[in-house]
Amino acid sequence: MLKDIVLETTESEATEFTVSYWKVDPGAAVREGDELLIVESVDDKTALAVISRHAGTLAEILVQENATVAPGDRLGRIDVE
Amino acid sequence: MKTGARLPAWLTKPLANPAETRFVRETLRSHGLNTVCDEARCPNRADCFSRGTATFMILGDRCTRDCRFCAVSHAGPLPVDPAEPDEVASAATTLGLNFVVVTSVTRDDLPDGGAAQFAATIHAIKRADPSAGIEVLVPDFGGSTDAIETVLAAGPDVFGHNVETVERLYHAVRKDARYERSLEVLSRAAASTSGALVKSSIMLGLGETREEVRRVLVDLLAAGVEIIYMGQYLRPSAEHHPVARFVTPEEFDEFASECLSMGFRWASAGPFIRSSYRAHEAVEALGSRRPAFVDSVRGEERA
Repeated sequence: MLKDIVLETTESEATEFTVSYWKVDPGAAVREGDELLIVESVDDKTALAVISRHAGTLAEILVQENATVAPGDRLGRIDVE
Repeated sequence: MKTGARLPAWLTKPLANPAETRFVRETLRSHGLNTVCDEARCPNRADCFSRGTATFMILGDRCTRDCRFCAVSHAGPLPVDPAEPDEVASAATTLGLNFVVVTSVTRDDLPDGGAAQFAATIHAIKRADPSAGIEVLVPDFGGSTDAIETVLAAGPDVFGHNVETVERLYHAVRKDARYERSLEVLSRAAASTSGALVKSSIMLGLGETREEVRRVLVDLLAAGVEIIYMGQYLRPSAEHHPVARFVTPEEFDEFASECLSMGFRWASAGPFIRSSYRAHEAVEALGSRRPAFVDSVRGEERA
């Protein structure tokens, strides 16, 4: 079963982020709590890691490096089976 | 693979969920309080808020100075709120803080620089919880000895004042401050009989050289500073002073070791170290020297 990786509403006040890089390649196993990708915004002093809410396999990357994303956007999909 | 990254990998934090910080945020809002965490856009705030702690910023959210490293707004100041000390104490109680850190904007418009409000806040926190540890991070009060003594007489466990950077960069990033004056504030606090531990912090990555940092450390030690914190400067916006370089975690470790070798009693150094970050740890390690006469004042207040 495929589960969306969504950029959640966050503590950050930023409304727009840039995808820095993915830490996981498609086909790789991921555990719940793993860092999946790094995003940055000009409003934050740090890079921010998007954490996996599921265990499974990274099935698909939907946003590439340097893409602009906003809270609520789908970033990729995890096959949880 | 990392072509999209603006910041080095060691400056990454987990994307925090607002649900984890809600309790702190709601407590601050209900008491009408400001934090330097939010005003300075601290990178650790989600971390600290989710652990139930925050650093209170008193005397309003408008600073009378306009330092080039700082995100706190620069504007005409608001009147001092006489209810603020009790609101801070009440919020600290609600949050269950056993170590409270209080800082402020700089208030060059006030005759005492806001020292009396610091003292009132310390007393209010002690009335609410006599066992709470208290750290203040004060502005330079224009170098006023009276202001420094007013704060120290209230009996904080830690008296902090940040030199922030090396002397050469003061004009570029702290144009209304003076390096020598900040050292004097610290040495006066260290020379007092209050017993407060004296603390200072430096940001790295503003363009300083390693030799200049060493000079600051020597000066701080000579002033009587016992606790030193060092962290990476991070630019709050494109309008602020640019980051000259990102100091590696290994270099921070070297600085921490060097500080302890030089004679500082406590050194925290790392990319995300900020002067208030996990501030209780130094006092827990070193032990408070809260003096007897302050305890007696507290006793009278409780009676």
